[in-house]
Amino acid sequence: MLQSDGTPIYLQIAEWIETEILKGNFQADEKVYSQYKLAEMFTINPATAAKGLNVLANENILYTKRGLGKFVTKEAKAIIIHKRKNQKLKGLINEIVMEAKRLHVREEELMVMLKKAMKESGGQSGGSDSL
Amino acid sequence: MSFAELGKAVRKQFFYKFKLFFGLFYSLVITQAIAIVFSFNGTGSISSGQIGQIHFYSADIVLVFTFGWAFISALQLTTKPFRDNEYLFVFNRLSSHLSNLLFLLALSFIGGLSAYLSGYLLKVAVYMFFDFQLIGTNDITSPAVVVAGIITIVLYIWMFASLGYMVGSLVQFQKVFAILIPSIIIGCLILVALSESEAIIRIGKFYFFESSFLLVFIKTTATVCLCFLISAVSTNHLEVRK
Amino acid sequence: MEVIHCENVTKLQGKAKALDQLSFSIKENTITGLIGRNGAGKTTLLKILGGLWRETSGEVKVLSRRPFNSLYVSENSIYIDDAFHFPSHLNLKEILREGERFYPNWNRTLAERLFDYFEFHPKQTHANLSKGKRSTFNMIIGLASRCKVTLYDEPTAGMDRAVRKEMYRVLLKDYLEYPRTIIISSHYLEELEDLLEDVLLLDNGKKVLHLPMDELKEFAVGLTGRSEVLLQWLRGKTILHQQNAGPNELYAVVKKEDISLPEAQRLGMTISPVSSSDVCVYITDRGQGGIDRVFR
Repeated sequence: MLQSDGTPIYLQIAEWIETEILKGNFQADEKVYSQYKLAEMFTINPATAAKGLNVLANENILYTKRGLGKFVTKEAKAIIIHKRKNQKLKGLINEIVMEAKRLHVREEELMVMLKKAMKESGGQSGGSDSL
Repeated sequence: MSFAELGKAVRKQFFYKFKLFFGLFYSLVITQAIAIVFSFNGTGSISSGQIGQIHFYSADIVLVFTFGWAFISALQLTTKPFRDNEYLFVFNRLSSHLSNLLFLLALSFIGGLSAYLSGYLLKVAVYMFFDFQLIGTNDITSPAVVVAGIITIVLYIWMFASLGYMVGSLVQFQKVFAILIPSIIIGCLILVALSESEAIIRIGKFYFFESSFLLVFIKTTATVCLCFLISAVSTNHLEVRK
Repeated sequence: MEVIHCENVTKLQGKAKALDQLSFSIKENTITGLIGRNGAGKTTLLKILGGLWRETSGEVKVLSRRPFNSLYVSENSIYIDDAFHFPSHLNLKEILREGERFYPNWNRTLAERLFDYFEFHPKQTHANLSKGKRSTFNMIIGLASRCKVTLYDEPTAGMDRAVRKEMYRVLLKDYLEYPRTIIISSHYLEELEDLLEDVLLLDNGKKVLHLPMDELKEFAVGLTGRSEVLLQWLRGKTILHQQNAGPNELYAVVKKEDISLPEAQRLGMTISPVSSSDVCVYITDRGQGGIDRVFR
């Protein structure tokens, strides 16, 4: 499930939990997997998994109940969507723009391509995750 | 390190060694069988016109062979292939030496007992295979004497084993000993043969012409302890599984 | 709590220094990868920690005791390598039984399940096993002994990839169930890295790096760009590795903390991650250029 594209494992873990939250597999105020459960699932060191959980805790996506584990905050979904729009999507778009420049693709041409891709993936509402 | 810890480790290693070095018992059987065959010639004979010839049969040759076996077996224990097998699980140098000491004692006990019994085996064999009249020498012996005799044999074998162990350990400590010790032994033998060197014969008498059981016990165990002390000191820095 | 502590440890082998003033410490219940090239001192270090060899100078403490000649350390640690000499006349089941007698925390169920899973035959002897099978068996001993300190020296040598993957998973699952301090040396860092919490990188008997695995993964970045621009920009900075990436194009690996990524992007360079095993190779490179120097 994990990729070896150079993205640190703990970030991949964080992203995986985010996606699960977006999919609704972890609801607000529900407990997410412990570092040990995650370690077991992905065959990774539990310290790495803990680091991934802490990233999310720092971003207010998860909160800690002492001795019980990490739980999903009420705002989690909104935060994740906001973050992904601003970081991941922006980053991807930047890359597209860079590549378009290198290939001398004009703005209009790019827009056409984008719209076509949108249509092919089932319109604007297509919320399939990109992980 | 507590004594209980040490004792536990020594006990475990002791039983492990029985499984590990089981082959030594086979070599014991073979050694003593060969010695018995040699003994058929008798250790001496007297000719007399009136009663024909008297052959003396005894288990002395078996004993000498068993001493040699004990010496070589103990020496083997200190060599690398044996040590690599030994230093596998829980050990330190002290526990290893102590368990070897005990293991060699057990080995000597079995060797001594079978050497003693081989005396009877010899008598039976001579009676069966040769047309001789057997004249017993010490048929009526009290159990106490028999036990003391066996213990004495065991102690002597143990002493030879610990000598072998010490020689092996010294060789592990400094390879020079591998040349030095055989030269000394051969040199001594030559000395005895040529000039009947007083000192060496006195050493022999010190150990083997002792009639008091208690003194035999003290002399042999003291020698064993000394040998093990030297072995322990010389190999205390030995690294294993190189 | 520190389980392993080394201070200025030196080990002489003949006149060569197998370990050279090595200092580091390892926390309780962590998995540390011991990385380094052949002859970097990995085996020497592990054998000293396991009490098999003796340090020449410096202080070694395992479970607060000097390992050499310590029964306590011997009972609570195990050193596993592929040259484990088991007695030739004991069969595999008997060896397991001996392990159980010696190690207080031995887990028989685990040993037997793994024994069956990897299709060992009880009556086989160790000497008759293939290299990979032997490594597998030795690793079963290491896992089942459940020693507080477990030292694996190239434990996966000779195993095929499928078995290696399974073994990594077994190692991790058993560690989750029964945490302990594990050091594992391996040439397959990329396969192993997800399991590791920390990495200790040795070169020529010296410590080069000792840091969390995550930090090692982000330790360096690769930059590709026009040679003059790149070299100009990197002047005064340490280039860990460089090679030609086309006419007038250069690929250079630098420490991440030395440069600013947005600036690199602005200068039109392509930024790529550098795998941890590559980082280790570049850092311990014998001078610039590596093997290519031989052909110059």
